[in-house]
Amino acid sequence: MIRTETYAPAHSLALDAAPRSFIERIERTLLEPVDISFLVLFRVALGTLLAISMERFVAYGWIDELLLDPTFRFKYLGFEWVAPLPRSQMFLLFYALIGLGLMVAAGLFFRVSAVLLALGISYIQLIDVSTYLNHYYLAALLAWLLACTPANRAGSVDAWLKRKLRQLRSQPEPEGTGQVARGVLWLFRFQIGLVYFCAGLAKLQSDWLLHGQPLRIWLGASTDLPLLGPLFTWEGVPLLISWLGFLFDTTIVAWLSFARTRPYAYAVVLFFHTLTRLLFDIGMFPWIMSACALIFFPPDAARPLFARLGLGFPGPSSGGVPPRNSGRSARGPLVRVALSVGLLYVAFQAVMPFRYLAYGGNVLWHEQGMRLSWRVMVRAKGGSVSFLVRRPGEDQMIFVDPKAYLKPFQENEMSGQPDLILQMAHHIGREYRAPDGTLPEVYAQANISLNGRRAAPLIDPDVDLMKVQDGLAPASWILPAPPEAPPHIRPVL
Amino acid sequence: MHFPLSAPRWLRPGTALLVALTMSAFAGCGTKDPKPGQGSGGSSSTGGRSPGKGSGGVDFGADGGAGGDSGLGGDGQVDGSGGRKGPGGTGGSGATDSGRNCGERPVSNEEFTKKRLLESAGACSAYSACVFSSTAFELGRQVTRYADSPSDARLEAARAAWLDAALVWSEIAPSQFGPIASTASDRYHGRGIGSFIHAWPALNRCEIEKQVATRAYEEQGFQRILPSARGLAALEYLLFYEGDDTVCASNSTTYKVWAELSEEEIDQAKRDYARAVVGDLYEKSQELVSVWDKDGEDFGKKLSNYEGYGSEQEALNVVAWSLLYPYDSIRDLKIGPLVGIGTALKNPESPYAEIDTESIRANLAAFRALFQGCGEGGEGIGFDDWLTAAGADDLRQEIQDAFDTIDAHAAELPPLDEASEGELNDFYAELKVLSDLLKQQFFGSGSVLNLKLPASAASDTD
Repeated sequence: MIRTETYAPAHSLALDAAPRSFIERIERTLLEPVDISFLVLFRVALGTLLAISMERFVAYGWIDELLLDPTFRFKYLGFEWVAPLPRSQMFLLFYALIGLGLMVAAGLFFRVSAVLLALGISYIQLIDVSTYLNHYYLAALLAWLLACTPANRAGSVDAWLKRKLRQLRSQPEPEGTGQVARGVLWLFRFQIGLVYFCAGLAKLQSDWLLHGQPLRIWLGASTDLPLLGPLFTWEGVPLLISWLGFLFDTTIVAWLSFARTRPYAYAVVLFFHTLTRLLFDIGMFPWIMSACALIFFPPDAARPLFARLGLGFPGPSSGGVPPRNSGRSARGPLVRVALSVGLLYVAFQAVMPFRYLAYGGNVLWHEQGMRLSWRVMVRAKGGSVSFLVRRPGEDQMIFVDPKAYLKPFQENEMSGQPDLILQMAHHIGREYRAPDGTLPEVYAQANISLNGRRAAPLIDPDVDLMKVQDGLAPASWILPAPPEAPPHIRPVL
Repeated sequence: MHFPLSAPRWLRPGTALLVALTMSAFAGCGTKDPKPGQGSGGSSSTGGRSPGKGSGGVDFGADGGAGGDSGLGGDGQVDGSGGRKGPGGTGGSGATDSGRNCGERPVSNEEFTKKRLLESAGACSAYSACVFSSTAFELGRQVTRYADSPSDARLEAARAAWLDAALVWSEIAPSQFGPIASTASDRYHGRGIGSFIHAWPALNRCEIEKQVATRAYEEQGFQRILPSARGLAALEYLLFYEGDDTVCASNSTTYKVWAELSEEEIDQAKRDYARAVVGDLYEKSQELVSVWDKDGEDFGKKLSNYEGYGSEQEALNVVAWSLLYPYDSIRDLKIGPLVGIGTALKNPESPYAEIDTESIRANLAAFRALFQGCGEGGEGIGFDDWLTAAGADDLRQEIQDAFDTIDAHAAELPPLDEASEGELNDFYAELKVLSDLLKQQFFGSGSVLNLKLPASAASDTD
C-alpha cells in the first residue's frame, strides 16, 4: 500500500471553498498541510552540516588561503563591490556562522539566525569567483530556502520557549504547529531533484559516455583504495562507472519518489556518496546530498525518530486552536506573494541550467552557462595562461605571468574559465596603463587541456581583450573546442 | 675585494659528482660521525695530525699542521679511482671505496607501478643524501684545515671542496619532499633540513656577519641561528668573499662591533665561524642521511607506503612538485629577474663563488633523475614511466623534448652574468615551454595523471 503524504487536519487551513480555476487548484494543493517533521529534520541536518562546513574553513586555514591572502579577486557580474572583511572580522564572521549554523539546527531565534546564516554564506561565496563550487552554491540556496520557511515551528528551542510562554500565560496550543504547507516540501524536493537531474544531464555527452573521461583520469588517483582500487585499472571499468554515474544522477529522483523503491534507492544514494567521498576531494558535498535526499521520504517519516529522542511535537492532526493565518486569510495577499516568489524561484532555477543551449558549442570548453547549472564533476580542465601587453606607442610586447597577481589555486581556476581570463586581462591592462591613462593592448595565450586532450588555444590570441567586455552575449573571442576525442588514459596501479 | 674565481667548466654536475663520490671514500655515509682518522683522506696526508675543532663535536680528522697542503684531498682533487657519479650523473660500477659507503646507484628495471615510483624516488634521495654527506665531510675536513692553519693553498682546497658540495647539493635541492623540504612544500613530512644546508633564496649576509662579529654562536650554539647564517650560503661568503666590510646597518650592534675589529681579527673571526658552520652543516647532512637510512628512520619506506600522506596519490603529488623547480625556481627566480620578467628581484644563488650556471645544470640533472630515473642517462623508474603506462606517451615525449632542449642549452650557457640578454631570453622561453607543458597536462585540473598543483591540493572540488 502506498503511504499517503496527505493529512486531514482537524482544523485545516480552511481551504474549504471549492477552487474555481486551475491556479486556485494549484494554490490549494501547494497550501495543503503536511507533517512538519521533514522540515525539522532538514533544519537540524543543514544547520549542523553548514556549521561543520564553516568550521572546516577555520580548521584548514582556508580563510587566509582562499579569501584573505589573494591580492586580486575575480568578481561576479554585478557583485564587483563585494570585498573581504579585515582578517579579524573575517574570522569573527566564520565563528559567528558556526554559531548560527548550530542555532539554526537547534531552532534558536531561527528567523534571525537562518537569515544571517544564509546571508553570511552568500557573502563568502561572492568574494571571489575562483572559490566557486557547486555545493557551496547549493548550500547557500538551501540556507535561503530554509530561512523562508517556518522550520522552527516544531522541534526547536523557539517552539519550546513559545510553549513555555503560552503555559505561563495559560494560552492554548495553536493549531498548525506540527504542519507546514506542501509547497515547502515540493520546493525542497524540486531543488534537490534538479541538482541530481542536471548533474546527470551534464554527463549526457560523448566524453563521459563513450570515452569514460574524465573519470578514467580521476580513478587513476585512487588505485590504492582497498578492494576497489585495483578494479579501476581493469579495462572497461571506468566506462562502466561513468554509465552508472549517469544513470544514478538522471534517475535517482524517480527511484526516491516511489515508496517501493525508496529504501533501496536511498541505500544506493548512501553508497554513491560514500564512494564519491572516497574518490574525490568534494568536502561536505556527499554529506549534504545524503542528508538532502531524505527529503524524498514521506514528510512524517522522521516523526518516530523525534519521538524516540524525546523531541516529540504535536502532529498535524493533534488539535489545538486554528493558527492566525488559517481560514481564508491563508490565501491572502502575503501568501499569494510567497507563492509567486516561490514559483519565480522555481522557474529561474529550472531555466538557469539550460541557458548554455543559447550559446551552442561545448559548454565544458567555453564555459558560457557553466556556473550555477549543476555541471558537477564532468571536466578535467586546466592549462597555462600568460598575457602579452603592448603599451600605447610601443612595438614590443611585454610578457606578463598571471602568477604575479594570483595564488596558485586562482591561477588553476582561471586557466579554464574564459571570463576569469578576461577579468585578469583587464586588471593587467589597468596595471600597465600609461601615465596619461591610456590603456594598453592585452592579449592572452591560453593553452588548455580538456579531459586529457592535448592543450589547445582557448582564447583568440589576436583579440585585444581590453576591447572586450564581459556579458551574457556569446563570446566570439573564445575559440571553438578541439574536435578530437579525448585520449584513452588508463588508471595505473 | 672579490675573489676572481670563475666557475671552471669541468665543474659540471657529473664531473663534480665524480669528485664528490670519490671523496666519499674518505667519509662515512650512513654512519655516525667518523672517528678521528677515519675521514683523514687516506694515508697520503702529511703533516702533523691534530683533531679538528668542528662544531658540535664533529671531528673531521683535519690536518692542523702547516705542512699538510700536499696531502690527498688537500687541494680538492682526487686520485681518479672513483667509478661512479652523483645522483643525476652517469652511473658506474661503484667498485670503489665510495661505492662501499653509499652503495650502488638505486636503479630499478622492474615494471612500473606507482609504489615503485615512490620507492625509486626515496631510494634516489637516500643515495643523494649519502653522497652529499660525503662531500660535506670533505668540506669539513678542508675548512677545518684551513681554519686551523690558514694558507692560500688550503683556502683553495676549501673553496674547491665547497664547490663540490654546492653542486652536489644543487642536484638534491630541487627534490622538495621529505626531510629536506619545508612544511610549505611537504606539509606532511617536511622538516626544513634543506634550508639549514643551503638557505637560498633566503640569503642574508648581515646575519652571517652578525655571528662573525659577535661570536654569539659560541655561547648559544646553532639552535638559535637563522638558516641564512648557516650552511653552504654562509660558507660561500666566509670562503669566497675577501672584503672586510659589513652590510649590516650602521646603527646595528653588529656594525659597531665590526668597526672595532682589525682586518686580521675579522679574518680570524670568519675562519672560526667557518669551522663552526661546517660542523653544523655536516651534522645536518648526517641527519638527512639518518632519516633516509634503512637502519635509521627509513623514510623511504614511509614514503613508499605513503605513511602520513593520506593516500598514494597525495604522496605522488608532493614528490612530483619537485618537477616544478625549473619553473618556479630556475625560470622565475634565477633567469626571470635577469631578463626583467616577473616580480622576483635579482638574487643570485651563488653571489661570491659565481657558479649559478653550473648550479642550474645540476638542478636540471635533478629534474631528469626524478622524471626519468636517477640512473645513467635517466635509467630507472620515473614519472615518464607513469605517463607511458597511463597511455600518455605523446605528453611524455613532449616533456622530454622540451627538457632536452633546455638541458642542451644549459650545457652551453656561459656564467649568467656573462650571458647576453638574447641568450637568457631564449633560455627563459625554453623554460616556459616546459613550464607550460607541466601546467597544461601534467599538473593541475588538466592533469592526465590527476596530479594537483601545489597549494591547490587541500581545498575541495565540486
